[in-house]
Amino acid sequence: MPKYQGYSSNLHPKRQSTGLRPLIVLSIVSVLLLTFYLREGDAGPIHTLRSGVTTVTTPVRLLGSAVASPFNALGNVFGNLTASRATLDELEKENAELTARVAELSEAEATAQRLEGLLGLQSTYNLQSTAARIIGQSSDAWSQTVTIDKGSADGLAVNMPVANSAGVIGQIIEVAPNAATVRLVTDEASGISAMVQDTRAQGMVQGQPDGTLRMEYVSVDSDVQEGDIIITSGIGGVYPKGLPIGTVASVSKASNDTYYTIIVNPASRTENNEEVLVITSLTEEQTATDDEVASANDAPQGTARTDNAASDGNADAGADTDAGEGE
Amino acid sequence: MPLDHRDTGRGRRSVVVAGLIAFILQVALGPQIALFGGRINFMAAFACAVALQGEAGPAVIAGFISGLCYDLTAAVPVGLMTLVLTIGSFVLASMSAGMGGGLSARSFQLLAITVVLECVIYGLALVIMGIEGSLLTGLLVHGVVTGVLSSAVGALFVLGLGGGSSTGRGFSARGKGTRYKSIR
Repeated sequence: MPKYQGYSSNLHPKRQSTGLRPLIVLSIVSVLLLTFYLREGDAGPIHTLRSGVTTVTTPVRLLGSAVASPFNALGNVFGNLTASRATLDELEKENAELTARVAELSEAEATAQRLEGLLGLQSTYNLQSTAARIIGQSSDAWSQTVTIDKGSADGLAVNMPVANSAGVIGQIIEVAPNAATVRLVTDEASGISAMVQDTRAQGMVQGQPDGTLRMEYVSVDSDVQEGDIIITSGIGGVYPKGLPIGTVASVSKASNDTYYTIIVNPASRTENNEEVLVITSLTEEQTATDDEVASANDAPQGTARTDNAASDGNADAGADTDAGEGE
Repeated sequence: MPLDHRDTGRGRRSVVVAGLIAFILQVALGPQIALFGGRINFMAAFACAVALQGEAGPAVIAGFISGLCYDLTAAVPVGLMTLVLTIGSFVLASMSAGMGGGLSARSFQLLAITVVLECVIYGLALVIMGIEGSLLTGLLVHGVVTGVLSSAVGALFVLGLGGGSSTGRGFSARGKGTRYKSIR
């Protein structure tokens, strides 16, 4: 006797359901859902439904974040197990340097606490922003996102950039009344107009599957070196210019290449319960001016490095551009 | 057959309770646990555990609802995991018909293969849709690792669902499952 008589055929009530009918119906519904989701805008019914679900489940996310926060260090241990030898060597070296600086930093603890706070970032860059807290990471393995505890009820909207005290972390892609989803800069779908701080060489920073960043479209005529700081250029109109994105980890190019292959270490990392700033609006001085956009188009390779110019003695003209912007 | 109806009702309650547990775990712990590039998909684990009971109709519905819950609680295309779990649950239920729903080497093998395949196919679909850029990472790292982690959780769900009928344990809403109820 079938356990679930509700799926038996009307024509043959005693025969057990093969499940074909619900399979076909629900598969069609799934395909329709996927189609509507991909075609509708951010205000479409499916997005709205997801926004509602996010709202309802936010307390559960907060609970999960609170429960998991003591185990974050354990997660780092597992992460280290999968790291390459080179990465571990680099981390060990970095750890030694950081350990040496602990004494110095501990003396300035009061100051560091203030700087670690988001008000420091806010005042430094004069950001119009709202503070929020990360309450969860991406629940799937294929995307790099975090959920924050502020949403449309707090004035947040899709496309707003998000930063922490170290620099840019991402951009809001979905918003619910009391929560928002932020796509991290390390996500493959992420892209930021950026430039090398010293030489103003223009490019586009994009996320990679391995969690690193790559700066694309930087001409081989540019002067880029390991350790260079990459900042937002403000040309895209979404991110304020001058915010740190990361530092150049490696620069390489094959013969006949037009562009460098530049790997960038992200300046900021995201952890649960970390406070972030959602930049709600940009002032005029935070967006790229028409002159800067024109300059970027005319000379995407940027200018000569300031110290090189001094040694060469013939690059004064290049050093006179807007190299004072940003940090 | 009032006894059958009572057992069926208890079984459904167990499935519903297990589903709620899976959903809460997916929302609360899913975003917090990441190992070797993968994350546990509690909803896929639950859907496959239900499908192992061998009832195709309920398995398809459980797969659909589980996938929808997953899609609505993550920043992913809504409908994709729904479709994958709907079809995957049907296939697994069809293969496991007559196995009794308990956890055995054979049933765990089926469950693990299905969950891993579901995750790999999901990753492949994301690559095809342009959401995931790297085929290798999307399939081998995220897909396989997520599948392996999820299948381990799926075994626990099978114990909760299938084990409940033979040992008295399980996701019962009443909390006190009585053994040998049919004899009384």
